[in-house]
Amino acid sequence: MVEIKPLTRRMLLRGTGGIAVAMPFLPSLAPRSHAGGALGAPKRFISLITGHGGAWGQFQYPGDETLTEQQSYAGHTIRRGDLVSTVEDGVRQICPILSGESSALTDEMVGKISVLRGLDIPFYISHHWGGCMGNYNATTNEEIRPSLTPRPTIDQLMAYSDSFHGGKVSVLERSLLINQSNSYGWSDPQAGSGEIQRLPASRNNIELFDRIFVEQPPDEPPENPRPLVVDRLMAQYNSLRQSDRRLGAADRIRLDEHMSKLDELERRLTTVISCGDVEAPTLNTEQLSSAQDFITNTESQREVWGLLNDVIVTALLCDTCRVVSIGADGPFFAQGVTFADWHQEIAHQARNQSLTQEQLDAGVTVLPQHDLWPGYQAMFEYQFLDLMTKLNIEDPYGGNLLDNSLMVWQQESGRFTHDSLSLPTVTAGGAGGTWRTGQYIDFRDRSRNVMEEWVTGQEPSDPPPEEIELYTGLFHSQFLGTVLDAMEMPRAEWEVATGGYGDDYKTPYGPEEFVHPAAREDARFEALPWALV
Amino acid sequence: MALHAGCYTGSSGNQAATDGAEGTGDSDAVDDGGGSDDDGDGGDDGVFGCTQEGLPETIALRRLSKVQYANTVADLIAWADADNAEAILAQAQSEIDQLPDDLRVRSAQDFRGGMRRLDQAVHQEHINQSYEVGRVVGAAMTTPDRIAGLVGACATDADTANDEQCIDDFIARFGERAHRRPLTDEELVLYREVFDGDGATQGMESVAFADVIQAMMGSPFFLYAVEHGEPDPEEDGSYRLSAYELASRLSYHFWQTMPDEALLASAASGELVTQQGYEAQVDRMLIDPRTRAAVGEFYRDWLWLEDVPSVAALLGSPKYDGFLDGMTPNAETTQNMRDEVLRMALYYTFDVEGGLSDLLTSDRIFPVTDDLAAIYGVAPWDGQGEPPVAPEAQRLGLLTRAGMLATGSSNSHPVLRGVFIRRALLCDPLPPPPADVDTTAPSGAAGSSTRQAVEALTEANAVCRGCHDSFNPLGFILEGFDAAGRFRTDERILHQDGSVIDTVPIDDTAIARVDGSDASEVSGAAELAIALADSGRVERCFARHYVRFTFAREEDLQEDACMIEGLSALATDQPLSEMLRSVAFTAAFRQRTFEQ
Repeated sequence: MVEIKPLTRRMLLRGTGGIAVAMPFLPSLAPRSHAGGALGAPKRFISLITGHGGAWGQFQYPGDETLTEQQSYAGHTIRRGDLVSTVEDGVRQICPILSGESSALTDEMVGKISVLRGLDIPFYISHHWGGCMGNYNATTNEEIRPSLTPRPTIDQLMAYSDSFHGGKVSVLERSLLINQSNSYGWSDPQAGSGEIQRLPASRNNIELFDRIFVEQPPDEPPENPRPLVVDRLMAQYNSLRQSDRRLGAADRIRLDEHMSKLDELERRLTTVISCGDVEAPTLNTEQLSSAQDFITNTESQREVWGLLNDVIVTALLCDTCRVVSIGADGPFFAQGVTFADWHQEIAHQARNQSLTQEQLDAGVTVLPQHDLWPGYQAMFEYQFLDLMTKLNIEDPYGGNLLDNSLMVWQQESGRFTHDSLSLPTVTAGGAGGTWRTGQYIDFRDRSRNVMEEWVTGQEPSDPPPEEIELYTGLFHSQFLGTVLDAMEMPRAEWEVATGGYGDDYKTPYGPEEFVHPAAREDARFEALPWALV
Repeated sequence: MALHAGCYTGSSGNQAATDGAEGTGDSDAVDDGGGSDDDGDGGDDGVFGCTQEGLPETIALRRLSKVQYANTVADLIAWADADNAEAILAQAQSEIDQLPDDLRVRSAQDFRGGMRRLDQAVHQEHINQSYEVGRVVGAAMTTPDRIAGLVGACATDADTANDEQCIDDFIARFGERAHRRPLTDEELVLYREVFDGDGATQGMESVAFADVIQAMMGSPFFLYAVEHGEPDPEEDGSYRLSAYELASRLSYHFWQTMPDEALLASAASGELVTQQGYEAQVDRMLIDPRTRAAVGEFYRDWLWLEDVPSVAALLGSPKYDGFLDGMTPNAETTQNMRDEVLRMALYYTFDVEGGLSDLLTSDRIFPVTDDLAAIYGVAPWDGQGEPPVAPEAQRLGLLTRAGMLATGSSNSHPVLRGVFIRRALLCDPLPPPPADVDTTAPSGAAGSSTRQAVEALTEANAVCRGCHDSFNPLGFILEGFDAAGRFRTDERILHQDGSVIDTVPIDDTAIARVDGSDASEVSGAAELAIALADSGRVERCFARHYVRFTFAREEDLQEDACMIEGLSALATDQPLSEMLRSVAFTAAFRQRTFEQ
């Protein structure tokens, strides 16, 4: 049996309008079931996906000099090194985007981060919402979409896996989907069948809180307990399903799917949680983020992310949910309005090395890139690092909550908006001891710079000389499979017939030179080198 | 000309009410048969010609939309306890709000737009929340001070002899509303078991009534449109909807809620399946304000009104402030813009005998707020009587509404304006942008207009030109209106600090190719509006969207061809309300398939 430690003062969460978890924390009635974390504690998974991307390498990644080791893998040389940071004026920096106040981004925290470079979706995926977590079919590129098999995203595989939950699901909520949805699941997720559908997300922290804390039954059961209404509903749906009243085959499938969800509802209604006294949040993030000036009100944005993070931490701490997916689109933390149309003027021009004459005539003084990357820095500091910090507490089920979790931050695009090579990927936490931390890995094949073949560097819209580099790397799906390995999801639950996670690699990404060699295709079924302990 | 039998009368008048459809339909509507896209408009929208009768596959177990669900809960409560309805609904409102929003579902090969009614996904949150709504409503309706009003005096009197009848009556009465038809004997037993709670219920306990309400509000007959149909005696293999099923279809289509007393009575008496009875109910429903609200939802989705961006988000940006040049949008302006488009569309649908061409070419404007009136340069309309005429001759029709033109930035967006016309108004398929698309902002610069900037970017090579040629010109023709919807003859090129660094004349002449082939020039929004109205293609596209809205599915280009053709014919020369009405007389509306 897992020994569950009571909450200590360090675990107390309290913020203005946020959630307060008051002592004493009374962990769930043991034994809870877990998926073998390092100390027997449950593993938790948190995904953050930010729209666009497009930050230059010099801002997004540590310097090459930190890559101190190399090995040959899948036909080319890959590199790694320990993450290093510097501190100046109270700011610690791994790279410009991965920086923050040194009081928060401590040496210890740097040791819990990993940066991965060279994870490619090897075809033009345009705008997409599910690609980062594995449903490449969720793209706006209608030319390629029909050839991509819809599939559940990895967070939903975990959410509906008994294995992930240690054999029996004991959480209240399978997954928390926050702000914008990047999650896709089966219409009958318990059976793993039906259609793949995009799942709804909420940006309302109070609504999310309500999902992870429901009114609990009284300690003393009533003398004459009433049966759950859901049981009767199940009987009614089943009666209709089995009746000889005329229905189409698809009608019956819908009834089956509904009954499957009633089954899940019943599971939820009979789940007992115990987390001491938890005060519900009072400030409403949906209202805050609906304010007219929200996109430029950095303080308000910071507050919203902080409040949402409070819900996440409380859910994980109280073990009412183990899977969280967060989505956010730009602009992020705009430092005042310097644009009239962020998508066009900033995101889509962020690769330009200089301003055009027209822009200069119009009084533009800041390169779009310099409007863009600080937004990602702020997302790192006020969302990702804030969540890391709040998770870096004792886990009542043993060990450290952050160490028992795996946080993954991915961006929609690589170096340039819509570029699907090298999706920036940052992780935090050790997934309960299986994920290696404190390192920077570059999976790219640096022997061939494909950008040199089609960019002269002479145009204002070209990147600066040091950014004229684009190398192919390993498959993004290989990363997803590795994450599932780290979370100890049995491969039988997610591996496709051809092996690995996903099989949609037959469409070349534009020019021939973007096609990944066969050796990398073969390797995509393996765990990424250096990634796991 | 006569309506095609297959389109408007189902399978040759196999239902009493069907016979009336021919009479109530438009006698000028046409069945001209023919092959693919033989509508003579020159465009190719992919719809087959009406050559055969057919019934497209009915979507499976249609879920109530969020709006329909919320309306149904509210109406059920109001029916059951009018005195306390407001308070009861207030208790349940936050739970209702937490149901997943319906998403706009794009049709195949579409990459923008979409109809909310097509979202038939059922998520776990639908089940959890509807269960919770049922629990809260059940508890709120059965408080000690309300239960007698809900169940009857028998619920609280001292006489226990009437308890059994009291319970059974309540189950039958409430169940008929919740199920939208009388309960079967089996269901009466089931709900009685819910009340009894495996023996846990002691007498007339409120919680037992609450459980019954919760069970009914979670039943398949409450959350879905469960249709069994009945064999058509006149045509093997066909199934017509029962009277109660038909009542629900009508009610959810026109009112977005459960059938009312009169509709249920009409179903119960059998009148609804007679020609006269059906017509009477459709006509009664059509003039009800709830139909106006439902059709408003159709227009909101068809015209992408959700995509109208905030015109206040960038306030404070020197460049945007400079662009506004004294215009003062506020947090409500964007919604006011959407509302004006809806007001116009509904005006020509319900308030006057308007047709689609009026919607496309009217010189009337409908601003009822100061902010919008300022954009148009008029005083606000009081909403009564004749709406004012737009001061500018170019401001003709739907496309010149501020809500259709605003971009939320200082840049007009001719590309997106053109794409909207192609996709939403003409139903022309457009391929997605290619992989190596140059996405640089199409903004004007000193000596160069936005149009010129877009041309330079998108027409420099054949690959871009291949697609942009089809929609850029449509957007260019609307360049006489800026990014806030104001009429202009010159484009002001702005410095980052908001000052004007150049002024370039507007060129709003282009070859629109509304029908895909006509190479004549169109100058300005007014001519474009007329060209669209004259093309006959908008009616057809309108009909396709209305089919999606009505049946919560994408149209079947083959099986729905006759219906689309009939509806578009009505939209051409009849009031819009007539076209909306006529869908209730189609075979697809009153019949269904059962695919095995």
